[in-house]
Amino acid sequence: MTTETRTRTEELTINMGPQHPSTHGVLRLVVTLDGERVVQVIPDIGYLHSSMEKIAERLTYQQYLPYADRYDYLNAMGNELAYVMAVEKLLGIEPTPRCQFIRVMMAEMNRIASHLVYFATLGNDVGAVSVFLYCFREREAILDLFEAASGQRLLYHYLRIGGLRNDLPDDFCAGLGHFLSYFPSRIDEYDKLLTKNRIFRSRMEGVGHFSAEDALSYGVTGPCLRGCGTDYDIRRADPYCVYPQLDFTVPTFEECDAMARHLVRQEEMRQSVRILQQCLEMLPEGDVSVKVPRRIKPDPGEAYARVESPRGELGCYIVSDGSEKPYRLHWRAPSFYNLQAYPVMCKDAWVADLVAILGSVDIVLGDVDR
Amino acid sequence: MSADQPPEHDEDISKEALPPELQQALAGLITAGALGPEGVEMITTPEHIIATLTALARQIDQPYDMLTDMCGVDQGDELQVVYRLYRRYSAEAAVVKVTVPRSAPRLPTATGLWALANWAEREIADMFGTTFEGHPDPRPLLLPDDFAGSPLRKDYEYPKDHPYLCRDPAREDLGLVSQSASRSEANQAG
Repeated sequence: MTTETRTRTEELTINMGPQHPSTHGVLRLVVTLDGERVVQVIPDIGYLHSSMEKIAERLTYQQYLPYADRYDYLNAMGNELAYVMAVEKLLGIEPTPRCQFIRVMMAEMNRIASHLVYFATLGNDVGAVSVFLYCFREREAILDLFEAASGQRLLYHYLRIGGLRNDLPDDFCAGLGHFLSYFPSRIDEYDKLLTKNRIFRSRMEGVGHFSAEDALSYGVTGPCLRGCGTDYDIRRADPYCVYPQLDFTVPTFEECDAMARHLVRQEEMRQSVRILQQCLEMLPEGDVSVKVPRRIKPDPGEAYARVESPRGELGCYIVSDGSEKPYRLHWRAPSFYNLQAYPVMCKDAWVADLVAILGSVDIVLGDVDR
Repeated sequence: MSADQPPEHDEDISKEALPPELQQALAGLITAGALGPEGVEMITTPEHIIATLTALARQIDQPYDMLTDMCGVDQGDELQVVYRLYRRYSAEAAVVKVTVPRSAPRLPTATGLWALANWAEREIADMFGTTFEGHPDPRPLLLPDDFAGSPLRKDYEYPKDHPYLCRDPAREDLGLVSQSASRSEANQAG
């Protein structure tokens, strides 16, 4: 009784980042602590701001495509897809069926690769370091396939307005089929290493609670939303490419905590495998590109295309004034809005939970700052 | 943009294009409305923007209660802000556009309706210099605190000696300002 009344406590404000390894980039969190309890978290972003939208106004439509790769560098194919879909909407171009299938395959492979980086870094953040090596082993196999198709391992510049850079190489489908044959058993391994690990469970379960109403207000999408039990996926709600022809489920978990968000991603990788297997079976023959004029000058107007990126709703909004360059280009970045909700998830958390919660949101700072 | 037309005249345009329940809910609030490829599109004024968004979000049957994005566009004499709403977790969009004069770009904040508007408005304020009145936290978001200018406005000029630009005096000719000037001269000559 006496010690409590005599001890004077005060809140402490500390900086986490911008060079903290668990912030996955350059994110600064201004954290106010009361002992070990988090009172307030204020994310300070902009350290990686690279004028992606201003650059677009100075480049032609084709010239901007490599920049689309670079802004969310873990989902380069998905960014390209959103961008070329928006430009094709402006031009009124319909890509060939084979091209549509290959685009979906690339987007799904990129989803698996991105989720593997998430698994690896999350494991690293919460102390399960060996998972990192296993996940990067599988990711290498996907990157090898990307390299075979596009010549690049991270920033592909493979999708083009009206089609693709080139058709798939001859042994690509066999290589992908081999990867799909063993990858589901590897997901079981991660399940054993992480989900069945007691330490991991205690770090993730009941941590970072976030309700579905908050998600609606904050515009949170992707696995973070599906971890609140809301069955919303752009591939289903607003289907694009050949997704209506494919059979897959949208996994949801009701718990609203970091573990639920983690399990959504694990299940999504299994669904991506299903999608890829169907694509390999259904892949039609034919051309991969339609003829597009060398000088792309869309009529004045605007277009918005959105895709389901590994992090949520990724939108590309282009305003054209009839010239060769976009008049205005805007990215609806999923990480940007998901990170805005991070302080809500950290309400009443312990300071050690901050890292686990941030990992479970899976932000890419290039996507946040653009 | 058709914002210079008188509102009472434009209500007739919206009456033809928009579904009847929307016309009723938005009577007197919007200056133009149309059916776009993804959903309904409408133009309103800064005085009516919050009332328009509220009417869309509180529609009785299927409200447009999900704000997914906000985007600023420089439209010459005016600055435009585009609100992109969806019916909850569906593909039906409502795009609301509002223009403010370039000299005095002021809009009421939408943070009372959606928490998403907080960072979205701060980003637009950074990039276009728009003031969102009533915003709970109007600090710069993506740009440094001491950054001057609104970089996504079309008349933004790259500073000649800014601390955030790496400048080597020996390579003065490669500076962004002089480079774009010489390029436009070359275009005129060619």
